[in-house]
Formats: sequence, structure tokens, C-alpha cells
Amino acid sequence: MNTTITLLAFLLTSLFLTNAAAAPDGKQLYVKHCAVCHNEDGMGGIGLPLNGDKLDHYPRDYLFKTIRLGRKGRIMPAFEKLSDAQTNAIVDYLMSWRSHSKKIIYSDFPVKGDRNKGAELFQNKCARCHGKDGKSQGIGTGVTIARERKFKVIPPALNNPGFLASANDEIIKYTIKNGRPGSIMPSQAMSKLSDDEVNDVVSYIRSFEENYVADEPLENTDPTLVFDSPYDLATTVSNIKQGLQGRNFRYFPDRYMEMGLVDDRFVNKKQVSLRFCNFEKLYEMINIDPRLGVVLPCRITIVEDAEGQVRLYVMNMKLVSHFFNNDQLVKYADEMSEAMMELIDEVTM
Amino acid sequence: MKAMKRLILAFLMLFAVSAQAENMLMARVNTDFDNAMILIKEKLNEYGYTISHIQKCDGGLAEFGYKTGMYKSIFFGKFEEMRHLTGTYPELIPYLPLKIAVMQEDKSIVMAALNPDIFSEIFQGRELKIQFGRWESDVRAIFEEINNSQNH
Repeated sequence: MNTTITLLAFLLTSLFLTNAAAAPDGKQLYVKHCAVCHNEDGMGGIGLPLNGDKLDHYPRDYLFKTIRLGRKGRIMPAFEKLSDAQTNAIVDYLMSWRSHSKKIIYSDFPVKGDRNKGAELFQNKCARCHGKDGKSQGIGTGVTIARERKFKVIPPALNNPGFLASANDEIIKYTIKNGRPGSIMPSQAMSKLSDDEVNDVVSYIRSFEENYVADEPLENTDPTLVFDSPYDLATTVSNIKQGLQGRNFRYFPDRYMEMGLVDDRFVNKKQVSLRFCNFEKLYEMINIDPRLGVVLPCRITIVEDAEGQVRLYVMNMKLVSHFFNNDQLVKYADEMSEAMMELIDEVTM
Repeated sequence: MKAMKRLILAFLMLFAVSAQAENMLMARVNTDFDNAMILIKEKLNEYGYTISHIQKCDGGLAEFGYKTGMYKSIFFGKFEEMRHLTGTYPELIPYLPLKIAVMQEDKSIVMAALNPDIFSEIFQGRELKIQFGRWESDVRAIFEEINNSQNH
């Protein structure tokens, strides 16, 4: 009998310990997946600040969905590969940062309001920061740290499908009524909206879901754009430099592709990299996403093959810009791409 | 061929959204910029890479009157790989050497690289897939070591 009880106790203890050991560690997961953008202490960076009172009024469900769905086109990725247990562990960890333990209960019932009246109110009271169509007026994301930004915290894009799927009507209503601590988002008292008007605005924001337009497919999906040059290597390089000068690009000293990897005597001198930059555009673009340096500066590589044919090789920025999950960046990349195509057309004519 | 491209694109767009966390590999280290540069150089060397060039993005911006934190792009690679790949797969040329952006963010330094494995979806071929996987594994390990080196 005693042996049976001891064995049972041992088994139960083992089971408990195994489960405890297997339970995901929220802090560890946060450090692994979130800290690089939001900072280890949640003070923000590329991502929004999360510590102090920033998350006070958000329920678990909102945080869970935000992690899993992300914010399409706004840098914050969708962490779909995290399990429910892992996501919940991160949520637990985030909740431990809240400035109070008061639990706000949000009803799941939709708020009833007049979306037409809400549209008018939105334009008067909200559009200045959140944009006429809810896309947000600010560029980029996160907080001002190394770069100057118009808003300390970029106002969220309220038309974002990730946001709309994460926040139910009551959460949006609560935010309008109470404002957001640590930001310029005013409370209901400041914005002077009546309760009915708050409902109207919530209904209008919810209507963004119906107007969501999916991405259009890209026209050219080749990762690399290749162009034949009718000229020899030296002439092609010279033509491109002239073209760059006329287009407000500053070019850097040209380099052979293999330079720095091997003794200069052995580098392939038939592969010339021309790197160039428009610093005004660069500044605007790194304000949108500071990680842009992973594909910059702009570059055209001119290569002469064994048959003497000279070709230009260019990264397809339109395609690569989609890796950043940032719609604002995609627009700039399209502009830069157009400018480069014009230049290449001209120098290879 | 066009249908195939469309299919690849559809997958790519889906991939870009759904697995976005993997499109970019990143590290954060709580140290000053110079130390971070020393650290990344050491790690790249440990993994057999040579730094071919450092682009001083912050210097260029400052010269044009733009205020920014410290910001540099590191170009790195292995000579034999570079010679072989650019000769056999010239379409890879714009993506080589590999790059890591190193940027100051207040009191810490953020490093970022495009996840080399995403190229598996846009460049076809078994040899390339293996190559991209190897680069991904190296950059991921380097960043993990950097994350662990001074943060904890």
C-alpha cells in the first residue's frame, strides 16, 4: 500500500515537474522575438514602447491577436509560428509590466453608432493624426530615439486589418473615451465628444474593414533586373556616372565586386559595382524603416562576360521592399526604382 | 513560365506577410557603437567571413545636413563563394556581398540583415538552397551570440 502511494506521489510530482519544465518562458520568448524591436525593458525602439502604463487598458485577447496577426504593412510582423502556449506566455510577461492590476472587462457586443456622423467627426477630431482614411499621418513606427520624428509615438493606422481584428469596438471606445497615456491622444473630456458621438466614431472606424483593399500583384517578379549594354565596360561605367550626376544621386568611388575579399591583384576587374545614393530620399526612407541599410546603397553592377558582352545587374527594389512589411517604404522603393529604370534606359540606348 | 512566376509571386507575397518575422534577422546589444562594430567584426571572422567594405551611411547623411544616429552597413563574404556564385549565378550579383546594417538606437545597437533563406523562394536551385540555408544558419548564430554576449 505504502509503495503504491509513494509510486503515485512520485508519478504526480514527475508529471508536475515535467509540465513546469515544458511551460514556455514568457520573458525568454519576449527577449528572443520582441526585444530587438521593442527593447528588452519595453521602452521601444523600432517598435512601440510597451512598458509602464502603455498596455494598461489592453485585454489579453488584444495582445494575443496583435502578436499573432501583426500589423500588415506596418513593420510589426505576424508571429504565426508561435504556439498558443508561447504567445500566451509572452502576453503574461507583457501583462506583468502593467502599472496596475485592475482588470477592465470589455463587452464583445458591437457598438451601435451612426457611421456617417462618425465619418464627419473623425475628419474633424481624429484625421489630423490618424489620417483621413485611417492610414495614420505619421511615417515609420516606434519612438524617436536616434532620428527626428514628427510624433513621439507614431499614431496607429486604424484601418489596419491587424488592428481591427485585434481590437473590438469596446476597446476602441475605451481608448477614445480615456485617451492614451504617454501619447498626444486626448481623452473624451479633451476632445469634447458626447457618448453618442464616441459611438459614431467607433462605428466609422469599424467600417474601415469593408474598405480594405488587398495588395495588387507585382508586375515584375524577377529578383534581378538584367540589361545589355551596347558599349564596352569602361564606357558603360562612365555613362552611368554621368546619368547619376544629372539625377541628384551622389555616387561613391566604384569598386570591383570582389575587392576586400581577396588581394587586389586577384580581383575580377570585369565586375564593377557603382554605388550611389540620394541622401534626401535615404533620410526619408530610414525614418520609415531604419533597417533599410540591409539593401542600401543603391547599386548597379556592370559585368563583362567571357564573350565581351557588358550587362547591368540591378536588385528589383519593388520586389525586395515587400520584405520589410511596410507599405510606406514600398511607395518610396517604387519611386527609386522608376528613377533607376529611366537612368538605365538612357545609358544603354 | 509566366504562370510559374505568378505562382512564385503569390507564394512570396504570402510569405512576406505570414512569415515576416523571418524575413529579417536582427540582434540588439547594449553597448556603444564602436564596441558593437568590434563585436560583429570578430563574430564574422570567427565564422570564416571577410569584411569587404563598410559603408558609412551616417557620415553621408551628416555631410548633407541630416541628423541621425550612428549608422553603418557592413559588406561581408567569402572570396571562393563569391567567385563561384557570381560566375555561375550572375542573377545573384546585386545581392552580394551579404550585408548587415548596424544602427544606434539610444544606448543600444541594433543589427539587421535580410534573412538569406528568403532568397530560396526567389532563386531556384538545390545548390543555392543549400547555400542560402548555410548563410542563414551563420547569420542567425552570429546574431544569437551577439544577443547573448553582453545583454545577460
